[in-house]
Amino acid sequence: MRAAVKLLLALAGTCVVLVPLLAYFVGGWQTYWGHALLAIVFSVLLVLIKTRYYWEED
Amino acid sequence: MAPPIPGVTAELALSVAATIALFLAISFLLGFYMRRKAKNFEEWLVGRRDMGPIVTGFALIASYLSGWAIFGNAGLTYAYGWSGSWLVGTVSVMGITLCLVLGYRMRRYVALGARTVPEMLRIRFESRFVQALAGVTMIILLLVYCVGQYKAMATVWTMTTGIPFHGSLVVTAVLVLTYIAIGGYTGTQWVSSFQGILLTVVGWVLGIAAIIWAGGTAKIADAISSQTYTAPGGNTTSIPLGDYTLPLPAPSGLAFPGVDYLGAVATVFMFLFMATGFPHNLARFLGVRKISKREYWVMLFIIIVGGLTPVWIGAVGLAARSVWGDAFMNDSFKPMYADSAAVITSMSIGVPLAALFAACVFAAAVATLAGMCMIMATNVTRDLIHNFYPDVSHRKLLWLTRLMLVPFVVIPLWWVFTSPPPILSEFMASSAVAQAGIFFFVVGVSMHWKRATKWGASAAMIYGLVLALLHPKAYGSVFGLYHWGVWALTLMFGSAALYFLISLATEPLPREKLAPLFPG
Repeated sequence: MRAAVKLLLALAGTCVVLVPLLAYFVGGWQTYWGHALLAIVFSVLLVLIKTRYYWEED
Repeated sequence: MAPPIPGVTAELALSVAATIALFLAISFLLGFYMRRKAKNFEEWLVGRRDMGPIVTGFALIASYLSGWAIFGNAGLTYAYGWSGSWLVGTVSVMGITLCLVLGYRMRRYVALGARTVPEMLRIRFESRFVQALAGVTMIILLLVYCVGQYKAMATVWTMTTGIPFHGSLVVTAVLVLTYIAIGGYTGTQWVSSFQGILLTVVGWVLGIAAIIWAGGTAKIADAISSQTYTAPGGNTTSIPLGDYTLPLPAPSGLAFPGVDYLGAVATVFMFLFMATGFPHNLARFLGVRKISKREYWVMLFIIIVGGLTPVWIGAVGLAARSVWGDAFMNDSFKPMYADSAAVITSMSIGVPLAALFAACVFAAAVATLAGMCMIMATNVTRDLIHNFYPDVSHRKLLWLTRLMLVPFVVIPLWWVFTSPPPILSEFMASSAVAQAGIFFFVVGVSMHWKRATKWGASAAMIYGLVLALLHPKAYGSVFGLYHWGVWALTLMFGSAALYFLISLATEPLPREKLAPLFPG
Protein backbone atom coordinates (compact mmCIF):
# COMPACT_ATOMS: atom_id res chain seq x y z
CA MET A 1 0.00 0.00 0.00
CA ARG A 2 1.34 3.42 -0.96
CA ALA A 3 2.24 5.98 1.71
CA ALA A 4 -0.27 8.44 0.28
CA VAL A 5 -3.07 5.90 0.62
CA LYS A 6 -2.03 5.16 4.20
CA LEU A 7 -2.10 8.87 4.99
CA LEU A 8 -5.54 9.34 3.41
CA LEU A 9 -6.88 6.29 5.27
CA ALA A 10 -5.44 7.62 8.54
CA LEU A 11 -7.19 10.94 7.92
CA ALA A 12 -10.47 9.12 7.17
CA GLY A 13 -10.05 7.10 10.38
CA THR A 14 -9.45 10.31 12.31
CA CYS A 15 -12.80 11.62 11.06
CA VAL A 16 -14.51 8.58 12.61
CA VAL A 17 -12.63 8.88 15.91
CA LEU A 18 -13.51 12.57 16.17
CA VAL A 19 -17.27 11.86 16.09
CA PRO A 20 -17.71 10.80 19.75
CA LEU A 21 -14.92 13.14 20.91
CA LEU A 22 -16.71 16.12 19.40
CA ALA A 23 -19.91 15.16 21.19
CA TYR A 24 -18.12 14.72 24.52
CA PHE A 25 -16.05 17.91 24.42
CA VAL A 26 -18.20 20.33 22.44
CA GLY A 27 -21.92 19.42 22.27
CA GLY A 28 -24.91 21.34 20.88
CA TRP A 29 -25.31 22.38 17.25
CA GLN A 30 -21.53 22.50 16.69
CA THR A 31 -21.42 18.76 17.28
CA TYR A 32 -24.58 18.12 15.29
CA TRP A 33 -23.27 19.82 12.13
CA GLY A 34 -19.69 18.90 12.95
CA HIS A 35 -20.62 15.24 12.58
CA ALA A 36 -22.06 15.92 9.13
CA LEU A 37 -18.91 17.83 8.15
CA LEU A 38 -16.67 14.98 9.34
CA ALA A 39 -18.78 12.58 7.30
CA ILE A 40 -18.31 14.71 4.17
CA VAL A 41 -14.53 14.91 4.65
CA PHE A 42 -14.41 11.12 5.21
CA SER A 43 -16.38 10.55 2.01
CA VAL A 44 -14.23 12.81 -0.13
CA LEU A 45 -11.10 11.04 1.16
CA LEU A 46 -12.57 7.63 0.38
CA VAL A 47 -13.60 8.53 -3.16
CA LEU A 48 -10.22 10.16 -3.69
CA ILE A 49 -8.51 6.88 -2.75
CA LYS A 50 -10.86 4.92 -4.99
CA THR A 51 -10.58 7.10 -8.08
CA ARG A 52 -6.90 7.91 -7.76
CA TYR A 53 -5.34 4.69 -6.53
CA TYR A 54 -7.84 1.85 -6.92
CA TRP A 55 -9.86 2.71 -10.00
CA GLU A 56 -11.07 -0.41 -11.72
CA GLU A 57 -11.83 -0.75 -15.41
CA ASP A 58 -14.17 -3.48 -16.58
CA MET B 1 -46.26 31.23 24.36
CA ALA B 2 -46.22 28.09 22.16
CA PRO B 3 -48.38 28.15 19.03
CA PRO B 4 -51.41 25.82 19.15
CA ILE B 5 -50.91 22.29 17.83
CA PRO B 6 -52.62 22.29 14.42
CA GLY B 7 -55.39 19.80 13.72
CA VAL B 8 -56.82 18.24 10.57
CA THR B 9 -58.62 20.63 8.22
CA ALA B 10 -60.43 19.94 4.96
CA GLU B 11 -57.86 22.05 3.08
CA LEU B 12 -54.97 20.04 4.56
CA ALA B 13 -56.60 16.65 3.95
CA LEU B 14 -57.39 17.56 0.33
CA SER B 15 -53.91 18.94 -0.29
CA VAL B 16 -52.26 15.84 1.16
CA ALA B 17 -54.49 13.52 -0.87
CA ALA B 18 -53.90 15.54 -4.06
CA THR B 19 -50.11 15.67 -3.60
CA ILE B 20 -49.86 11.97 -2.87
CA ALA B 21 -52.12 11.23 -5.86
CA LEU B 22 -49.85 13.36 -8.06
CA PHE B 23 -46.78 11.59 -6.71
CA LEU B 24 -48.35 8.21 -7.36
CA ALA B 25 -49.42 9.21 -10.85
CA ILE B 26 -45.85 10.26 -11.75
CA SER B 27 -44.46 7.09 -10.16
CA PHE B 28 -46.92 4.83 -11.96
CA LEU B 29 -46.31 6.54 -15.29
CA LEU B 30 -42.55 6.21 -14.91
CA GLY B 31 -42.87 2.61 -13.73
CA PHE B 32 -45.29 1.68 -16.50
CA TYR B 33 -43.27 3.35 -19.25
CA MET B 34 -40.04 1.67 -18.14
CA ARG B 35 -41.74 -1.66 -17.53
CA ARG B 36 -42.59 -1.93 -21.23
CA LYS B 37 -38.90 -2.06 -21.95
CA ALA B 38 -38.36 -5.23 -19.89
CA LYS B 39 -38.45 -8.15 -22.32
CA ASN B 40 -37.86 -11.01 -19.91
CA PHE B 41 -37.49 -11.98 -16.27
CA GLU B 42 -33.77 -11.12 -16.26
CA GLU B 43 -34.48 -7.61 -17.48
CA TRP B 44 -37.35 -7.26 -15.04
CA LEU B 45 -34.86 -8.01 -12.25
CA VAL B 46 -31.86 -5.88 -13.23
CA GLY B 47 -32.91 -3.79 -16.22
CA ARG B 48 -30.56 -3.43 -19.18
CA ARG B 49 -27.56 -2.38 -17.10
CA ASP B 50 -27.72 1.06 -18.66
CA MET B 51 -28.41 3.21 -15.57
CA GLY B 52 -26.24 6.30 -15.30
CA PRO B 53 -24.71 7.91 -12.19
CA ILE B 54 -27.52 10.39 -11.54
CA VAL B 55 -30.35 7.83 -11.68
CA THR B 56 -28.32 5.33 -9.65
CA GLY B 57 -27.17 7.97 -7.15
CA PHE B 58 -30.65 9.25 -6.40
CA ALA B 59 -32.10 5.73 -6.41
CA LEU B 60 -29.49 4.80 -3.81
CA ILE B 61 -30.50 7.84 -1.75
CA ALA B 62 -34.18 6.87 -2.04
CA SER B 63 -33.58 3.30 -0.91
CA TYR B 64 -31.38 4.52 1.96
CA LEU B 65 -33.82 7.25 3.08
CA SER B 66 -36.51 5.07 4.54
CA GLY B 67 -39.33 6.09 6.87
CA TRP B 68 -36.67 6.10 9.58
CA ALA B 69 -34.55 8.84 8.00
CA ILE B 70 -37.18 11.06 6.43
CA PHE B 71 -39.69 10.81 9.23
CA GLY B 72 -38.56 8.88 12.32
CA ASN B 73 -35.48 11.03 12.86
CA ALA B 74 -37.62 13.92 14.01
CA GLY B 75 -39.22 11.58 16.54
CA LEU B 76 -35.79 10.63 17.86
CA THR B 77 -34.56 14.15 18.51
CA TYR B 78 -37.97 15.22 19.74
CA ALA B 79 -38.04 12.42 22.34
CA TYR B 80 -34.35 12.29 23.32
CA GLY B 81 -32.92 15.73 22.46
CA TRP B 82 -29.26 15.75 21.35
CA SER B 83 -28.76 12.14 22.46
CA GLY B 84 -31.36 11.11 19.87
CA SER B 85 -29.01 12.34 17.16
CA TRP B 86 -26.87 9.19 17.47
CA LEU B 87 -29.65 7.29 15.71
CA VAL B 88 -30.44 10.18 13.35
CA GLY B 89 -27.38 9.29 11.33
CA THR B 90 -25.56 12.62 11.24
CA VAL B 91 -22.70 10.53 9.82
CA SER B 92 -24.89 8.74 7.24
CA VAL B 93 -22.81 10.15 4.39
CA MET B 94 -19.85 8.06 5.59
CA GLY B 95 -21.78 4.81 5.27
CA ILE B 96 -23.42 5.63 1.94
CA THR B 97 -20.02 6.50 0.47
CA LEU B 98 -18.61 3.19 1.70
CA CYS B 99 -21.54 1.55 -0.07
CA LEU B 100 -20.65 3.46 -3.25
CA VAL B 101 -17.00 2.46 -3.02
CA LEU B 102 -17.62 -1.21 -2.20
CA GLY B 103 -20.93 -1.74 -3.98
CA TYR B 104 -19.92 -0.64 -7.47
CA ARG B 105 -18.18 -3.99 -7.89
CA MET B 106 -21.63 -5.62 -8.06
CA ARG B 107 -21.37 -4.88 -11.81
CA ARG B 108 -18.69 -7.53 -12.13
CA TYR B 109 -21.02 -10.16 -10.69
CA VAL B 110 -23.95 -9.11 -12.85
CA ALA B 111 -21.70 -9.72 -15.87
CA LEU B 112 -21.10 -13.22 -14.48
CA GLY B 113 -24.81 -13.91 -14.17
CA ALA B 114 -25.84 -12.59 -10.73
CA ARG B 115 -29.31 -11.09 -10.59
CA THR B 116 -29.71 -10.79 -6.81
CA VAL B 117 -27.32 -10.13 -3.93
CA PRO B 118 -27.41 -13.78 -2.73
CA GLU B 119 -26.72 -14.89 -6.32
CA MET B 120 -23.65 -12.72 -6.22
CA LEU B 121 -22.61 -14.68 -3.11
CA ARG B 122 -23.18 -17.99 -4.89
CA ILE B 123 -20.84 -16.88 -7.65
CA ARG B 124 -18.31 -15.47 -5.18
CA PHE B 125 -18.17 -18.63 -3.05
CA GLU B 126 -19.43 -21.23 -5.55
CA SER B 127 -21.94 -22.29 -2.92
CA ARG B 128 -25.68 -22.76 -3.26
CA PHE B 129 -25.88 -23.08 0.52
CA VAL B 130 -24.43 -19.58 1.04
CA GLN B 131 -26.92 -18.19 -1.47
CA ALA B 132 -29.86 -19.85 0.28
CA LEU B 133 -28.64 -18.84 3.76
CA ALA B 134 -28.21 -15.22 2.62
CA GLY B 135 -31.72 -15.28 1.14
CA VAL B 136 -33.28 -16.54 4.37
CA THR B 137 -31.23 -14.08 6.48
CA MET B 138 -32.37 -11.18 4.33
CA ILE B 139 -36.01 -12.19 4.56
CA ILE B 140 -35.93 -12.32 8.38
CA LEU B 141 -34.15 -8.97 8.80
CA LEU B 142 -36.02 -7.10 6.09
CA LEU B 143 -39.40 -8.11 7.49
CA VAL B 144 -38.52 -6.30 10.72
CA TYR B 145 -37.35 -3.26 8.77
CA CYS B 146 -40.61 -3.09 6.82
CA VAL B 147 -42.59 -2.62 10.04
CA GLY B 148 -41.17 0.88 10.50
CA GLN B 149 -42.14 1.91 6.96
CA TYR B 150 -45.76 1.08 7.62
CA LYS B 151 -45.81 3.01 10.86
CA ALA B 152 -44.35 6.08 9.13
CA MET B 153 -47.00 6.06 6.43
CA ALA B 154 -49.89 5.39 8.76
CA THR B 155 -48.84 8.17 11.12
CA VAL B 156 -48.73 10.75 8.34
CA TRP B 157 -52.09 9.70 6.94
CA THR B 158 -53.68 9.79 10.38
CA MET B 159 -52.24 13.16 11.36
CA THR B 160 -53.01 14.94 8.09
CA THR B 161 -56.27 13.41 6.92
CA GLY B 162 -57.91 12.06 10.04
CA ILE B 163 -58.19 8.62 8.40
CA PRO B 164 -57.86 5.92 11.07
CA PHE B 165 -54.37 4.51 11.61
CA HIS B 166 -55.29 0.97 10.58
CA GLY B 167 -57.26 1.96 7.48
CA SER B 168 -54.36 3.83 5.92
CA LEU B 169 -52.11 0.81 6.47
CA VAL B 170 -54.28 -1.38 4.26
CA VAL B 171 -54.52 1.18 1.44
CA THR B 172 -50.77 1.61 1.39
CA ALA B 173 -50.12 -2.12 1.30
CA VAL B 174 -52.29 -2.43 -1.82
CA LEU B 175 -50.46 0.46 -3.49
CA VAL B 176 -47.04 -1.05 -2.77
CA LEU B 177 -48.11 -4.35 -4.29
CA THR B 178 -49.46 -2.78 -7.46
CA TYR B 179 -46.49 -0.48 -7.82
CA ILE B 180 -43.83 -3.21 -7.75
CA ALA B 181 -45.82 -5.62 -9.87
CA ILE B 182 -46.02 -3.01 -12.63
CA GLY B 183 -42.51 -1.60 -12.45
CA GLY B 184 -39.93 -4.31 -11.90
CA TYR B 185 -36.32 -3.24 -11.47
CA THR B 186 -36.06 -0.63 -14.21
CA GLY B 187 -39.34 0.89 -13.15
CA THR B 188 -38.39 0.97 -9.48
CA GLN B 189 -34.93 2.34 -10.30
CA TRP B 190 -36.36 5.30 -12.24
CA VAL B 191 -39.17 5.86 -9.76
CA SER B 192 -36.73 5.60 -6.88
CA SER B 193 -34.52 8.18 -8.51
CA PHE B 194 -37.47 10.58 -8.82
CA GLN B 195 -38.31 9.89 -5.19
CA GLY B 196 -34.71 10.46 -4.11
CA ILE B 197 -34.80 13.95 -5.64
CA LEU B 198 -38.16 14.69 -4.00
CA LEU B 199 -37.02 13.47 -0.57
CA THR B 200 -33.82 15.48 -0.71
CA VAL B 201 -35.46 18.74 -1.75
CA VAL B 202 -38.35 18.54 0.71
CA GLY B 203 -36.13 17.29 3.57
CA TRP B 204 -33.78 20.23 3.20
CA VAL B 205 -36.63 22.76 2.83
CA LEU B 206 -38.49 21.39 5.86
CA GLY B 207 -35.36 21.35 8.01
CA ILE B 208 -34.41 24.93 7.19
CA ALA B 209 -38.01 26.15 7.51
CA ALA B 210 -38.43 24.42 10.88
CA ILE B 211 -35.31 26.05 12.33
CA ILE B 212 -36.49 29.48 11.18
CA TRP B 213 -40.05 28.76 12.41
CA ALA B 214 -38.74 27.81 15.87
CA GLY B 215 -36.79 31.05 16.20
CA GLY B 216 -33.32 29.99 15.11
CA THR B 217 -30.63 27.57 16.25
CA ALA B 218 -29.66 29.42 19.45
CA LYS B 219 -33.23 29.52 20.68
CA ILE B 220 -33.71 25.83 19.94
CA ALA B 221 -30.49 24.90 21.78
CA ASP B 222 -31.52 26.98 24.81
CA ALA B 223 -34.94 25.33 24.93
CA ILE B 224 -33.52 21.81 24.60
CA SER B 225 -31.00 22.37 27.39
CA SER B 226 -33.77 23.42 29.77
CA GLN B 227 -35.96 20.36 29.18
CA THR B 228 -36.03 16.88 30.66
CA TYR B 229 -36.88 13.45 29.25
CA THR B 230 -40.50 12.29 29.16
CA ALA B 231 -41.26 8.65 28.41
CA PRO B 232 -44.00 7.64 25.91
CA GLY B 233 -47.20 7.79 27.93
CA GLY B 234 -46.32 11.08 29.63
CA ASN B 235 -44.16 9.99 32.58
CA THR B 236 -41.81 12.91 33.20
CA THR B 237 -38.29 12.51 34.61
CA SER B 238 -35.51 14.83 35.81
CA ILE B 239 -33.01 13.55 33.20
CA PRO B 240 -31.84 16.58 31.16
CA LEU B 241 -31.98 16.54 27.33
CA GLY B 242 -29.07 18.96 26.92
CA ASP B 243 -26.25 16.39 26.59
CA TYR B 244 -25.26 13.89 23.91
CA THR B 245 -25.96 11.04 26.32
CA LEU B 246 -29.21 10.41 28.17
CA PRO B 247 -28.59 8.32 31.31
CA LEU B 248 -31.92 6.51 31.41
CA PRO B 249 -32.33 4.20 34.44
CA ALA B 250 -31.10 0.60 34.15
CA PRO B 251 -31.95 -1.99 33.13
CA SER B 252 -34.63 -0.95 30.59
CA GLY B 253 -32.97 2.39 29.84
CA LEU B 254 -29.80 0.64 28.71
CA ALA B 255 -31.67 -0.47 25.59
CA PHE B 256 -31.51 3.15 24.33
CA PRO B 257 -28.41 3.62 22.12
CA GLY B 258 -27.70 7.14 23.40
CA VAL B 259 -27.64 6.07 27.07
CA ASP B 260 -23.82 6.39 27.18
CA TYR B 261 -20.79 6.69 24.89
CA LEU B 262 -20.50 2.95 24.42
CA GLY B 263 -23.92 2.96 22.78
CA ALA B 264 -23.03 6.13 20.86
CA VAL B 265 -19.85 4.56 19.44
CA ALA B 266 -21.89 1.49 18.44
CA THR B 267 -24.24 3.72 16.43
CA VAL B 268 -21.27 5.25 14.58
CA PHE B 269 -20.15 1.78 13.48
CA MET B 270 -23.73 0.85 12.65
CA PHE B 271 -23.99 3.82 10.27
CA LEU B 272 -20.58 3.04 8.80
CA PHE B 273 -21.54 -0.54 7.92
CA MET B 274 -25.29 -0.21 7.46
CA ALA B 275 -25.62 1.30 3.97
CA THR B 276 -23.43 -1.45 2.51
CA GLY B 277 -25.15 -4.04 4.67
CA PHE B 278 -28.58 -3.15 3.29
CA PRO B 279 -29.13 -5.52 0.36
CA HIS B 280 -31.71 -3.13 -1.13
CA ASN B 281 -28.95 -0.51 -1.37
CA LEU B 282 -26.47 -2.85 -3.03
CA ALA B 283 -29.19 -3.96 -5.42
CA ARG B 284 -29.10 -0.41 -6.85
CA PHE B 285 -25.75 -1.28 -8.45
CA LEU B 286 -27.13 -4.32 -10.28
CA GLY B 287 -28.29 -2.20 -13.20
CA VAL B 288 -25.61 0.49 -13.32
CA ARG B 289 -23.60 0.98 -16.49
CA LYS B 290 -19.86 1.55 -16.57
CA ILE B 291 -19.18 5.02 -15.22
CA SER B 292 -16.21 7.33 -15.50
CA LYS B 293 -14.18 8.85 -12.65
CA ARG B 294 -15.89 12.18 -13.22
CA GLU B 295 -19.30 10.49 -12.97
CA TYR B 296 -18.14 8.79 -9.77
CA TRP B 297 -17.60 12.24 -8.23
CA VAL B 298 -21.05 13.24 -9.45
CA MET B 299 -22.46 10.26 -7.54
CA LEU B 300 -20.56 11.35 -4.43
CA PHE B 301 -22.05 14.84 -4.74
CA ILE B 302 -25.55 13.34 -4.95
CA ILE B 303 -24.77 11.15 -1.93
CA ILE B 304 -23.56 14.11 0.12
CA VAL B 305 -26.58 16.28 -0.71
CA GLY B 306 -29.07 13.43 -0.29
CA GLY B 307 -27.27 11.92 2.68
CA LEU B 308 -27.62 15.15 4.66
CA THR B 309 -31.41 14.93 4.45
CA PRO B 310 -31.69 12.84 7.67
CA VAL B 311 -29.71 15.54 9.49
CA TRP B 312 -32.26 18.17 8.47
CA ILE B 313 -35.13 15.94 9.59
CA GLY B 314 -33.44 15.49 12.96
CA ALA B 315 -33.34 19.29 13.23
CA VAL B 316 -37.12 19.35 12.72
CA GLY B 317 -37.58 17.22 15.85
CA LEU B 318 -35.36 19.55 17.88
CA ALA B 319 -37.36 22.54 16.62
CA ALA B 320 -40.65 20.84 17.55
CA ARG B 321 -39.37 19.97 21.02
CA SER B 322 -38.23 23.54 21.62
CA VAL B 323 -41.64 24.91 20.66
CA TRP B 324 -44.11 22.40 22.10
CA GLY B 325 -42.10 20.75 24.87
CA ASP B 326 -43.11 17.15 25.58
CA ALA B 327 -46.73 17.53 24.40
CA PHE B 328 -46.54 14.60 21.93
CA MET B 329 -45.32 12.14 24.55
CA ASN B 330 -48.67 11.84 26.28
CA ASP B 331 -51.28 9.22 25.49
CA SER B 332 -53.47 11.51 23.38
CA PHE B 333 -50.86 10.95 20.63
CA LYS B 334 -50.75 7.17 21.05
CA PRO B 335 -49.47 5.18 19.11
CA MET B 336 -47.60 7.89 17.17
CA TYR B 337 -46.09 9.75 20.18
CA ALA B 338 -42.80 11.49 19.25
CA ASP B 339 -43.14 10.33 15.65
CA SER B 340 -45.90 12.96 15.30
CA ALA B 341 -43.30 15.74 15.58
CA ALA B 342 -42.25 16.07 11.94
CA VAL B 343 -45.70 16.03 10.41
CA ILE B 344 -47.22 18.43 12.97
CA THR B 345 -44.31 20.83 12.54
CA SER B 346 -44.82 20.77 8.77
CA MET B 347 -48.54 21.43 9.30
CA SER B 348 -47.70 24.37 11.53
CA ILE B 349 -45.35 25.87 8.92
CA GLY B 350 -47.96 25.70 6.17
CA VAL B 351 -50.32 23.45 4.22
CA PRO B 352 -48.21 23.26 1.01
CA LEU B 353 -45.15 22.07 2.91
CA ALA B 354 -47.24 19.64 4.99
CA ALA B 355 -48.70 18.16 1.80
CA LEU B 356 -45.29 17.83 0.17
CA PHE B 357 -43.83 16.30 3.31
CA ALA B 358 -46.68 13.78 3.50
CA ALA B 359 -45.97 12.77 -0.11
CA CYS B 360 -42.29 12.47 0.80
CA VAL B 361 -42.88 10.16 3.74
CA PHE B 362 -45.18 8.16 1.54
CA ALA B 363 -42.49 8.06 -1.16
CA ALA B 364 -39.76 7.04 1.29
CA ALA B 365 -41.85 4.33 2.83
CA VAL B 366 -43.18 3.05 -0.51
CA ALA B 367 -39.73 3.09 -2.14
CA THR B 368 -38.13 1.23 0.74
CA LEU B 369 -41.02 -1.19 1.15
CA ALA B 370 -41.16 -1.83 -2.58
CA GLY B 371 -37.41 -2.45 -2.76
CA MET B 372 -37.47 -4.74 0.26
CA CYS B 373 -40.55 -6.70 -0.74
CA MET B 374 -39.09 -7.24 -4.19
CA ILE B 375 -35.83 -8.45 -2.67
CA MET B 376 -37.64 -10.81 -0.27
CA ALA B 377 -39.81 -12.20 -3.08
CA THR B 378 -36.78 -12.81 -5.29
CA ASN B 379 -35.00 -14.33 -2.26
CA VAL B 380 -37.65 -17.03 -2.36
CA THR B 381 -37.86 -17.52 -6.12
CA ARG B 382 -34.24 -17.02 -7.22
CA ASP B 383 -32.26 -17.86 -4.09
CA LEU B 384 -34.30 -20.79 -2.85
CA ILE B 385 -36.51 -22.23 -5.63
CA HIS B 386 -34.38 -21.49 -8.71
CA ASN B 387 -31.23 -22.22 -6.71
CA PHE B 388 -32.26 -25.80 -5.99
CA TYR B 389 -34.59 -26.36 -9.00
CA PRO B 390 -32.83 -24.56 -11.87
CA ASP B 391 -35.16 -26.07 -14.49
CA VAL B 392 -38.18 -24.02 -13.41
CA SER B 393 -39.12 -21.71 -16.30
CA HIS B 394 -38.50 -17.98 -16.07
CA ARG B 395 -42.16 -17.32 -16.77
CA LYS B 396 -43.15 -19.34 -13.71
CA LEU B 397 -40.49 -17.60 -11.63
CA LEU B 398 -41.77 -14.19 -12.65
CA TRP B 399 -45.32 -15.03 -11.67
CA LEU B 400 -44.19 -16.70 -8.47
CA THR B 401 -42.14 -13.61 -7.58
CA ARG B 402 -45.22 -11.45 -8.04
CA LEU B 403 -47.27 -13.85 -5.94
CA MET B 404 -44.65 -13.90 -3.20
CA LEU B 405 -44.98 -10.13 -2.86
CA VAL B 406 -48.31 -10.68 -1.12
CA PRO B 407 -47.03 -12.39 2.07
CA PHE B 408 -44.11 -10.01 2.31
CA VAL B 409 -46.43 -7.03 2.16
CA VAL B 410 -48.93 -8.59 4.59
CA ILE B 411 -46.63 -9.95 7.35
CA PRO B 412 -45.14 -6.58 8.46
CA LEU B 413 -48.56 -5.02 7.95
CA TRP B 414 -50.01 -7.45 10.48
CA TRP B 415 -47.14 -6.69 12.87
CA VAL B 416 -47.92 -2.95 12.84
CA PHE B 417 -51.62 -3.70 13.18
CA THR B 418 -51.09 -5.70 16.35
CA SER B 419 -48.12 -3.97 18.04
CA PRO B 420 -46.86 -0.71 16.51
CA PRO B 421 -43.43 0.31 17.91
CA PRO B 422 -43.59 3.55 20.02
CA ILE B 423 -40.50 5.17 18.38
CA LEU B 424 -40.01 3.63 14.98
CA SER B 425 -36.37 4.53 14.35
CA GLU B 426 -35.29 2.88 17.58
CA PHE B 427 -37.11 -0.26 16.50
CA MET B 428 -35.68 -0.25 12.98
CA ALA B 429 -32.14 0.18 14.32
CA SER B 430 -32.32 -3.37 15.68
CA SER B 431 -32.65 -4.78 12.17
CA ALA B 432 -30.13 -2.28 10.81
CA VAL B 433 -27.41 -3.45 13.22
CA ALA B 434 -27.87 -7.06 12.14
CA GLN B 435 -27.84 -6.18 8.43
CA ALA B 436 -24.78 -4.00 8.97
CA GLY B 437 -22.91 -6.63 10.98
CA ILE B 438 -23.67 -9.45 8.59
CA PHE B 439 -23.78 -8.14 5.06
CA PHE B 440 -21.13 -5.44 5.23
CA PHE B 441 -18.58 -8.22 5.60
CA VAL B 442 -20.29 -11.12 3.84
CA VAL B 443 -21.14 -9.08 0.74
CA GLY B 444 -19.20 -5.80 0.80
CA VAL B 445 -15.84 -7.12 2.00
CA SER B 446 -16.08 -10.45 0.14
CA MET B 447 -16.23 -8.62 -3.19
CA HIS B 448 -12.81 -7.16 -2.41
CA TRP B 449 -11.07 -9.77 -0.24
CA LYS B 450 -9.89 -12.86 -2.09
CA ARG B 451 -9.21 -14.82 1.08
CA ALA B 452 -12.89 -14.86 2.19
CA THR B 453 -14.43 -18.34 2.26
CA LYS B 454 -17.95 -19.73 2.29
CA TRP B 455 -17.32 -21.02 5.82
CA GLY B 456 -16.43 -17.57 7.12
CA ALA B 457 -19.44 -16.03 5.37
CA SER B 458 -21.84 -18.71 6.65
CA ALA B 459 -20.54 -18.42 10.22
CA ALA B 460 -21.00 -14.63 10.14
CA MET B 461 -24.59 -14.96 8.91
CA ILE B 462 -25.60 -17.61 11.46
CA TYR B 463 -23.92 -15.75 14.32
CA GLY B 464 -25.51 -12.45 13.28
CA LEU B 465 -28.98 -13.99 13.15
CA VAL B 466 -28.61 -15.58 16.60
CA LEU B 467 -27.31 -12.33 18.09
CA ALA B 468 -30.18 -10.40 16.47
CA LEU B 469 -32.56 -12.45 18.59
CA LEU B 470 -30.62 -11.37 21.67
CA HIS B 471 -31.54 -7.69 21.20
CA PRO B 472 -32.07 -6.18 24.69
CA LYS B 473 -35.78 -5.74 23.93
CA ALA B 474 -36.16 -9.27 22.49
CA TYR B 475 -34.46 -12.21 24.25
CA GLY B 476 -31.27 -10.45 25.35
CA SER B 477 -32.61 -9.64 28.80
CA VAL B 478 -33.07 -13.38 29.45
CA PHE B 479 -29.29 -13.71 29.22
CA GLY B 480 -28.53 -10.45 31.05
CA LEU B 481 -27.85 -8.55 27.82
CA TYR B 482 -29.52 -5.21 28.59
CA HIS B 483 -27.09 -2.76 27.01
CA TRP B 484 -27.79 -1.80 23.38
CA GLY B 485 -24.20 -0.74 22.72
CA VAL B 486 -22.77 -3.99 24.08
CA TRP B 487 -25.29 -5.97 22.01
CA ALA B 488 -24.65 -4.00 18.81
CA LEU B 489 -20.85 -4.11 19.11
CA THR B 490 -20.94 -7.83 20.01
CA LEU B 491 -23.08 -8.50 16.95
CA MET B 492 -21.11 -6.40 14.45
CA PHE B 493 -17.58 -7.19 15.60
CA GLY B 494 -18.43 -10.77 16.53
CA SER B 495 -19.66 -11.31 12.96
CA ALA B 496 -16.53 -9.64 11.64
CA ALA B 497 -14.23 -11.72 13.84
CA LEU B 498 -15.88 -14.98 12.82
CA TYR B 499 -15.88 -13.96 9.16
CA PHE B 500 -12.16 -13.14 9.11
CA LEU B 501 -10.89 -15.85 11.46
CA ILE B 502 -12.86 -18.72 9.94
CA SER B 503 -12.03 -17.52 6.43
CA LEU B 504 -8.34 -17.50 7.28
CA ALA B 505 -8.60 -20.95 8.83
CA THR B 506 -10.32 -22.53 5.81
CA GLU B 507 -9.45 -23.00 2.17
CA PRO B 508 -10.50 -20.27 -0.29
CA LEU B 509 -11.54 -21.05 -3.86
CA PRO B 510 -8.68 -22.10 -6.15
CA ARG B 511 -6.84 -19.27 -7.86
CA GLU B 512 -8.22 -20.06 -11.33
CA LYS B 513 -11.79 -19.82 -10.05
CA LEU B 514 -11.10 -16.51 -8.34
CA ALA B 515 -9.43 -15.06 -11.43
CA PRO B 516 -12.61 -13.79 -13.16
CA LEU B 517 -13.79 -12.24 -9.87
CA PHE B 518 -10.49 -10.50 -9.12
CA PRO B 519 -8.87 -9.72 -12.47
CA GLY B 520 -5.61 -7.83 -12.49
